Amino acid sequence: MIKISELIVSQVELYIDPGTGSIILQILIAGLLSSFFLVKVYWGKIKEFLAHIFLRRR
Amino acid sequence: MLDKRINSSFRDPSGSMFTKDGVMYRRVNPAYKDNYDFFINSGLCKELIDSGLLINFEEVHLDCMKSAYKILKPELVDFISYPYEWSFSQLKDAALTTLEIQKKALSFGMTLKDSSAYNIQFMKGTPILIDTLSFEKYCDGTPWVAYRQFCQHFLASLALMSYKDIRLSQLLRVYIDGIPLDLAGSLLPFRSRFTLLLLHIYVHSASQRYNVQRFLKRKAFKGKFSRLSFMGLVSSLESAIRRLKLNTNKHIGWDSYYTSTSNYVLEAINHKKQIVSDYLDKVSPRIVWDLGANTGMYSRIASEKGMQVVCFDNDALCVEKNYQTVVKNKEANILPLVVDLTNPSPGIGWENLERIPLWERGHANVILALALIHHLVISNNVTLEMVASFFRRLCDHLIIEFVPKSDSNAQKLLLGRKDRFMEYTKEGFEWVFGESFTILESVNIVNTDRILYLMRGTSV
Repeated sequence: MIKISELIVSQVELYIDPGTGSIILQILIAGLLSSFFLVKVYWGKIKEFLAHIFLRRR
Repeated sequence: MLDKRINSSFRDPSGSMFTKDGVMYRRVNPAYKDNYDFFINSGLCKELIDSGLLINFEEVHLDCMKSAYKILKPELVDFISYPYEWSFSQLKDAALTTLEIQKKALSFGMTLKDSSAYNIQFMKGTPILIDTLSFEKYCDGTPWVAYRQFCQHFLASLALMSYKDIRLSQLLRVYIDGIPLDLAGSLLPFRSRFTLLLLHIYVHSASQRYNVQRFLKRKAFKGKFSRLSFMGLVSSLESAIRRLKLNTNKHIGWDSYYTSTSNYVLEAINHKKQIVSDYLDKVSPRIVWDLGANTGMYSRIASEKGMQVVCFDNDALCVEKNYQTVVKNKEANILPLVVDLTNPSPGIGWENLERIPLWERGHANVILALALIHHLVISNNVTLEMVASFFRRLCDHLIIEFVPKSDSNAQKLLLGRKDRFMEYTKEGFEWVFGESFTILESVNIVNTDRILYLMRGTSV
């Protein structure tokens, strides 16, 4: 069983309650979040790539 | 030694605010030394101050504070305001500022350890972080400890204002640490689940209610939240916030007050503007409060003369329009706020002292009370004596418009009611106000029965 204290390495004592569920949720969706970020950053290039594929097929 | 600890400053072990000899300081505790030094030396502090995202400060020395690591003297905020007094766009801009700061912090190797809306104040027309000690060194793999707080303070309130009703920001007055996610989820309409809110409100709320630790045991990864995921979190919150918009079509009310094109009315408005301008020139105040400011038309007479103006109005949509004008014209000396004068923000929090009651946050050189008195007396049954003593407490000079019962707007307020306002006459008004003020001048506004007065408070 993972302890929350092992998940958060904080230099200063935490003084707000991060919420156990909030911390664990972030870890569970970590992959989804990084994909979201990559898509957002490279959206222009992804659109170009897809457009290129569909135009070639025609 | 200390004059006073600032009442809202007690939760953070890194430091606290206090006043000494009437000056405000921030104490940095030795426990925060490493983070503070990193904050300065990494260049993050300078970057944030130069970008106008963090309040400026200087390091000072105080003899009585030898146990502190550092003493900082911050620049002062002109008028303290709280998130339940902000319009939709003010809260949205405060949210986006918080995320912008978090993004910059990450690029310098730091992160925000809290994302409270109370860390933001409005200065020179824009939101700014006032909590200098909000930063800690970022450790790769650590999730955002302030995620829950951001969703409760900013995302939940903005979503409710956007999807349901602009007035729901008042829930922030009741819930001092932001709107609980399960409450937000129960109020938001079903269609909001087809957006990023599904994750940040609904799933997030569920994660707090259920034992989610069992999901961790099954997964291969444990304790891993990469920097890329962190940036994804901030980015998705930013997208969620940006997509929330206000539906202004539903509203009918005060924003159309001044859109008459009749020459008769326009002449009256222009004359009123001229008188207000003359009165302001005579008094030459530094601070002006416009009570019942609507969209700020008369407030701008003062702000354009270089005076600091705070605008108060009960109608959130008028305040929203006022703020949009501030942003569009980059006005630095107007702060519009949503306030019900008959039920202003009380002290809230621990012992009702953490967040200051509205009328204890300062004093005005001039109060503008235009097209207001008939609402207070006729609609709200406040007596003339109570109104006069209220104004006297808060200002040195008063520019007030008396709206007699014969006025068409006053007539609308009396519709269907018995007129029991016997003392509400020009003579009655002058007599009552003459107790607390000296009437310096009065002018009849053309094409109306209204009179605009300039008054000076009598010495107590």
